[in-house]
Amino acid sequence: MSRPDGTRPRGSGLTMALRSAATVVRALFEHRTGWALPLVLLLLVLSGILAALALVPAIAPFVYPVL
Amino acid sequence: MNVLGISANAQDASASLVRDGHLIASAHEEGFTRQRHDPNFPRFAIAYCLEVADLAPHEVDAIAFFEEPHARFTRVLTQSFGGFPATLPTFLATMKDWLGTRLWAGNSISARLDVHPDKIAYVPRHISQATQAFVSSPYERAAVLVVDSAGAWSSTALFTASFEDGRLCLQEHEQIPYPHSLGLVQAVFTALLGFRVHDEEACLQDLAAYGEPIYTGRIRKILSPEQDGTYRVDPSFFRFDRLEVPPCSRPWTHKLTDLVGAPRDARRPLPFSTLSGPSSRAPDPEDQRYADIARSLQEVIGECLVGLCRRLRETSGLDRLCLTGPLILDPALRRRIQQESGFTSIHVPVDPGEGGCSAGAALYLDAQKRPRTHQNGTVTPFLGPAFDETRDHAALAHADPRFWQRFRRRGCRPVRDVSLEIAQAGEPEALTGIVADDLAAGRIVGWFQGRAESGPTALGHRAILVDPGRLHSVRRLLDKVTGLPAYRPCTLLLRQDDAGGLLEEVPPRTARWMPALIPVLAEHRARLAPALDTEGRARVVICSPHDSPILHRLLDAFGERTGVPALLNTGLNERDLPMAGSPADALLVFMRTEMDTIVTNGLLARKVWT
Amino acid sequence: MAFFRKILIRTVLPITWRHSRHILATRLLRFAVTESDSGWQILNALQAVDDPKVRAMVLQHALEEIHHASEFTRVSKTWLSELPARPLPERDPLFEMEEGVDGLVFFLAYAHVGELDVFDQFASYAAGVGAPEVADVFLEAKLDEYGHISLTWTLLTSLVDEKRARREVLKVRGRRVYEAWLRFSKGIGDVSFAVLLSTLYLVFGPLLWLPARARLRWRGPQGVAA
Repeated sequence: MSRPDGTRPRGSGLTMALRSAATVVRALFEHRTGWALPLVLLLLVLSGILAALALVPAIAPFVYPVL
Repeated sequence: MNVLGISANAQDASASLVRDGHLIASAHEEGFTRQRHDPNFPRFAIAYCLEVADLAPHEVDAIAFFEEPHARFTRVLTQSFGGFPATLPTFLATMKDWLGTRLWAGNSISARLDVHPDKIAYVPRHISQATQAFVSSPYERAAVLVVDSAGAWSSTALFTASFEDGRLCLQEHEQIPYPHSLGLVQAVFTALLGFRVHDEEACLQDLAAYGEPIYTGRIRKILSPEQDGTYRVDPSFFRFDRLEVPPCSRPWTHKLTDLVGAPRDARRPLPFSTLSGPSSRAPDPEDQRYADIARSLQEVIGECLVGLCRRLRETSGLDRLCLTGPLILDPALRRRIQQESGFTSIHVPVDPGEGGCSAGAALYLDAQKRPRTHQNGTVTPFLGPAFDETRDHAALAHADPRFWQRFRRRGCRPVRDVSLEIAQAGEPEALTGIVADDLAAGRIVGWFQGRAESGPTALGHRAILVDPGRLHSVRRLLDKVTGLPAYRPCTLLLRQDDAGGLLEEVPPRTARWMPALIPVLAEHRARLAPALDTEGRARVVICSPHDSPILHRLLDAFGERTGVPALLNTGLNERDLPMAGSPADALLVFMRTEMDTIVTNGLLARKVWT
Repeated sequence: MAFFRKILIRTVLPITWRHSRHILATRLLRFAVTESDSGWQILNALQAVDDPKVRAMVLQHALEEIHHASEFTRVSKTWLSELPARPLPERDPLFEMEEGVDGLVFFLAYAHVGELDVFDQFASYAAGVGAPEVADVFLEAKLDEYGHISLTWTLLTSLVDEKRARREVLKVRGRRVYEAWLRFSKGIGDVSFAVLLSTLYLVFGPLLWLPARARLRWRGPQGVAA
């Protein structure tokens, strides 16, 4: 059954997250903070890993409160 | 077209809804959650806005978020590493916050409201603020000054704004970047003088009235107004990173305390009072130091603001100004800008603080998507929720005030011998007559009517009203109802027609939503003393018959009984709580304090002492 | 579980709270936040209450919780030389109108269990705190919670029979065990995350310090391209 117009498409969470991550990287260069890129990439990867771990029921309680 | 504006993870989370260019709903989240300056995702404020518009979330055409979190994140990172290694604790706290929620604001909105992500747009924070200020003004073209604390990189921004062929044009001339932020400097001094940061800046502003500007020389070492109208902040005196997350503790370095002295212990009461008589004792030198610091800071910030205004006037060539940002809530600063900036006409929006950004963001996005006709600056400050709740009337009839005794504010009169008189509020004519009688007799009246104020200032719809000529009642109001310190004058509520007979100057147009500091005529100063500062000036709010016909009538009725149609007005809340967001909240204030009468829509209840 | 918690309160807390009044004051502010949340939850549930007598009782209940919050805040301020900015948790309503009677039943069961737990714990806190004025606040609140236990049970059994009420209470107990597990695991998660982040900070800090300082250097007001 299709969802009403204007609602969030199924499975768009990951796409949105990647878009946000790209926006963060772009913002680093727009605001003359490109020197932080390596750290920010690591932080984004860390967030991604935590978000993925949050999907595992046994680990989720340790991660949810952080996210 | 319907645009929802959201401000979240900010000092005052809020939501606003713009329909076809008109702001039809706006509310702070704190009114729904009873948490003062609630910063969390404004789910209840959003639900309210959608209810007003009769829309489901996915039916909204666009959603405007009030800032660009990615831009702000780059500033926060820079701030953290710029202070390495001392910033480790704040880095840990801020990163948890940012990586957990703030960086994913768009995702969060999409998931919570179940809306398509393409509908969500980020509006730079200073653009949100500038738009709110300009679009709500009566000007076709104006200079705009945004004086912020800390959003992304812009602390202060100077614009020219206009409507050209139905399009909003915002031309940004220049900005003064972080860390040169007047708002952050004020926040640090708020903490230094023992007040709560991001909450009690008004205490610092009011304390200034009791001080002398003898520290201005020292403060100019840390906040320097420049010849060209700009200013610089010396960040080595501050730990701005500590202001990012609670507890915002000790946001200064030893350099600051070496310069102006030790911070004030928050437990030390301040002896200043608008209610003091000639026999009151002189303040302790230490207390005077705090007041002098507050005054000196206000003096230097005022210099910076006037300098910026003059610079903007030269750059833009315009004589009309829109002013916004949290600092603008200080009536003394606004008055100084009015007198010294050179602008002939100045407009301030209903909510110049962070809470107003949701409205600005929505208005900006709306203006990008469709041609806009100017609104001629028709502004109503009452865009919050109204209630037609009448069930409390019957409930209160079953309440026994004797059971409230143990749960009342400390020091309140025992309610052993009190009974409740409860009645339907009745027709406006009869109601205002009864309430005016109560006020003239010295009773403290809670007044909950109509739509709530959409800004931070009490304007009479969620108000506690008292006769300013009754010192005992005013003392009771401060000690036994609100708990507010006595050096903070309440606002004076009056009608435009009566202003000429009470005030030395004509109140500006913006006094309908932003208290204007105006000297009171000498012959009325004795009677209105509790509303006045040390220079005989009152914070005046004008009640418009268009916005509040019943309040207008009440002032008329009160004036007939006392000869002075002006009421002391403060927010319907105890200290540390937001203004009553619902009739039940209002009743709780009535139950907990020495408030004598409460009027909430259909209900009038009075305590009768036997 | 309640037993272990009591032991913990009576043994560990006296050490931390008596050693540092700042820790005590901060903890009292958290109690204030919890009581304030209870008051808000009750006011939120008020929208479902039509009967005037019940409404009056519920309003009274809210008044008491708000008073407790106010008292905890008052005593905590006596030990704080500076007023911390409040960490304000997001309001998560235990009751929503759309859920109807089932939602109200869950809310009342949850409130009932919450009051039972608090009634147990407050006596222990009062004994462990080592400050008479604070102990008084705990003991006064405990007295009120007794009335709340009774009220929530009465309201619950007015909506459903006693058998179902006990079942709901059991379900809530299970949920609260899970919530306690979440709180415990949060502590571990926070520590691990902090260790990881600290490592990143200390590794990158020396490298990023200079460029960050350069970025923050004053360059005058920045003109914006038209």
